Amino acid sequence: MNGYVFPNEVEIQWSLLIVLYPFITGLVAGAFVVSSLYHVFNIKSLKPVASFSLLMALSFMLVAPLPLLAHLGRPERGILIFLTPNFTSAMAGFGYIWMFYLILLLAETWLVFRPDITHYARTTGGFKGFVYRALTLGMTEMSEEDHHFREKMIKVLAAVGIPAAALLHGYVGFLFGAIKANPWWSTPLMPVIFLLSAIVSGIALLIVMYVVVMKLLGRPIDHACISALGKFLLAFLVIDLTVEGLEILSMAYESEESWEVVSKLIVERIPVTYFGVQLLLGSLIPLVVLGALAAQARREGAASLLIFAAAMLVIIGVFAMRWNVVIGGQMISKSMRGFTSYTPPLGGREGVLAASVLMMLPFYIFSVIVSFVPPWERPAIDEGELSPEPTEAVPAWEAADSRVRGSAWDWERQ
Amino acid sequence: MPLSRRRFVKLGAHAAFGGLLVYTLRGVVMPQSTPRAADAEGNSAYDGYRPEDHDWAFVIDTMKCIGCGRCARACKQENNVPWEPQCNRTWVERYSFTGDGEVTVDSPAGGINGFADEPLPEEVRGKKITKSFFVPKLCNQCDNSPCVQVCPVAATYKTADGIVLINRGKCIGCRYCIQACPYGMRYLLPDERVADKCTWCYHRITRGRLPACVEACPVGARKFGDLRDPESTVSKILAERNVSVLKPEMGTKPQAYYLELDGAVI
Amino acid sequence: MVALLAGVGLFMRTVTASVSVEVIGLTHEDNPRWWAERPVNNQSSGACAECHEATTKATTASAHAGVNCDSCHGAAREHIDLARSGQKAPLPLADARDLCITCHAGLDSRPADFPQVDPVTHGAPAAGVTASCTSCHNPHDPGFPPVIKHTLEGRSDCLACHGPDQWQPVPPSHADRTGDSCLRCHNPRKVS
Repeated sequence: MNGYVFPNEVEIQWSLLIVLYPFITGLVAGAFVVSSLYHVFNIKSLKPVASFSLLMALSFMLVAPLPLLAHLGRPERGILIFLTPNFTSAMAGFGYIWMFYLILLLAETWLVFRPDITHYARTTGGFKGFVYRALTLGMTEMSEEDHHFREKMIKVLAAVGIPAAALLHGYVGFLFGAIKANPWWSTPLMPVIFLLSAIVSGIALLIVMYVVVMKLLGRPIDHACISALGKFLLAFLVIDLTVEGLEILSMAYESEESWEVVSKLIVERIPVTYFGVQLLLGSLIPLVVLGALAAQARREGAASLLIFAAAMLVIIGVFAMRWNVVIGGQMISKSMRGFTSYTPPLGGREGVLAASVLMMLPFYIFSVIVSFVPPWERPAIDEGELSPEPTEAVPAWEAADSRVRGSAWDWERQ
Repeated sequence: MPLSRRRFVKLGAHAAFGGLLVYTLRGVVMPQSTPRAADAEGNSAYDGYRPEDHDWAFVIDTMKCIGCGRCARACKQENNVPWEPQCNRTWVERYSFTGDGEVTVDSPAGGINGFADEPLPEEVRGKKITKSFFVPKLCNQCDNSPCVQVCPVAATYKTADGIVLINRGKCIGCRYCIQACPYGMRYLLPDERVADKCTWCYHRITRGRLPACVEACPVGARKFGDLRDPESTVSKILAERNVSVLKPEMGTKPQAYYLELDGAVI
Repeated sequence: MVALLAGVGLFMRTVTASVSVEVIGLTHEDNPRWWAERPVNNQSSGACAECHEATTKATTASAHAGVNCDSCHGAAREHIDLARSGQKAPLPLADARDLCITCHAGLDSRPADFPQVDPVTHGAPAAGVTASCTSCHNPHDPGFPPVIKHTLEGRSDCLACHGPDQWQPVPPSHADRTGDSCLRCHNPRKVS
């Protein structure tokens, strides 16, 4: 503790778990955006990861409320957020926004994998078969109408999901940005910054997970897909850096009373995590790497490896950004004259061990889900097709609709 | 039948999203003052006290404060505030101006043991002190209170007589209110793990007494009264003298006013 | 569709509004009462006068009128409850010197017109005797200037303040009276 802090500020209130929460919801939003880029905007090169990212989003979404619940002073009263929400509180939005988005994710995942589920329900026995049959919700056959509805609904959900994802992570940004008491947090740009870094982290984790999972399974990696993801990562990273840069530039230029203590925070208290990890390691180096790769012709294997490395750095950088915002902001005393410090404990409800378990949980959930519906093996759907070949005569409307046929307009050829 | 189920799902999605929109918009319309708890028939009166008849305010005379810390001590005694870990409903700060334009602020243990053990803050030993004074601080019971605004479950609220209270039975311990308070007045009770703060001794003022810190102050640096009573000390001071509040730019409309507040006090 | 959205939105708003809060029983209605019924721990002069009338009267008429009984003696509620029910109710007092110093130690930050002393030199240890503030000052009637208790017995007591190296040493005219009892000539006013 240095300088003067108010007597109640000796310990900070929001711990490592609250650093984890925006990180997790950010990954959800980012992964979902990739999935929607395929389903809504028909960016064909992202097809290999479209369903993969959906499952990844779902796995993280299920874990999202856990760090919040573990952090509450009274977790048993957490349900009150649903029962008696205060409309003026951004935090009260969590309950309904999360629930709504989870339902949307579940609905879209179910629809995307419905052909697989109905196929496996027919062909698998034992416990697994039971699970498949339960997942079909009683509808074991898919008719023409079902397929049509499925495609349309996936597009609708994917489209609705984009603003919903923006809301899911934007509200967290607003939660911080609307706190006028904290000069490091208070800015109208916070929801935008949070959302952009969320998308960046989601794309990056998707790259990493996709490569790792494919390697573990001994399957081939779609380098064109990785290259496309790398380009999207680059684009969003540029926008993210611009907005974050604008924010800090404005603060420095306007030099309000709080700038003195904020600049001291950045330069004296969190220089390593801010300049070193968030900016250099997590933003500038990946920017240069991805930019160089995007500028020249890609050489498959090596390029993918570099994109993978850049993605790893980005993930670390975004985590550092969450840390710098949540912890850094609380280090500034409201007396504007001093700083507190924070070292997360190892054990306990809010310690490093608990946080590590929570971070590993989504990957475990993911492994369980993909053991049931592996997105890389679609028995009911041929390669390049969104829906299986119809068994009866092709209706005229389907033959005319080239998007269904798969020989679609290719984003990359444009 | 798949068809009707489909339509149901579709309707459900649309409806949910629409509801969400309405919910979000509803919360965005911010009042400029924190609404006070409803004056429900028969519910607000206790022992003949009618909160809607009062409007409490605090005045602090920084020039009189001697930094004895009796107020902070009396508060802890009165309200059973834990002595360890450090939780302070009220505290006293010392401002020491050294000739080089620097100000040093300190508040050893919130001032509960006075400042006699540390005649000079560590940072200024050896330097010449040009100006020095004490500033007591406590919850401002803001009229546009950010803590009430951000509580996700509406556990904290403003009473009809102007005091911001916390419903310990509802508080979920999320600590958003602690983040939102610009004055650092809130803390988490260590055992109950719910938020807590100064209540201007609600249990005393509703019985015609003064808050414990006001009574404990030997020199009259703390004053308390009812703004509805034009003859009360605070009403007279507000009518006749120059007062200021802490962090006015925050727009919180504090109800604790300061006399002769130095510009260096944040 | 618009009507449906509006309807659902309104429904959600109603379901989660304070109306249902009352139904669930989680209103604020009773909470102000809970706060208003907290025990009053610091009792101060009013209640103390019940048993300690003389002391309270003296204090409230003195320079210490603004000093609460609870300030120095601790929160009195429990003491009062016990005493009223006829039980022994000791109220331990912190070390007098510490209590006095928190207010009266000389500090830069204190208003100049507030009575302050240098705690190190004022009432400094005399011949192995550490003078407590209450040796000379009556906390319940400190007076201004303080009326110093002179209910002293013998020479050694007098010398604590009036000895050669002490606070107010005797004038040189006393140089040959080393064996006498001071009370032979001096009969200090007795102040209780």
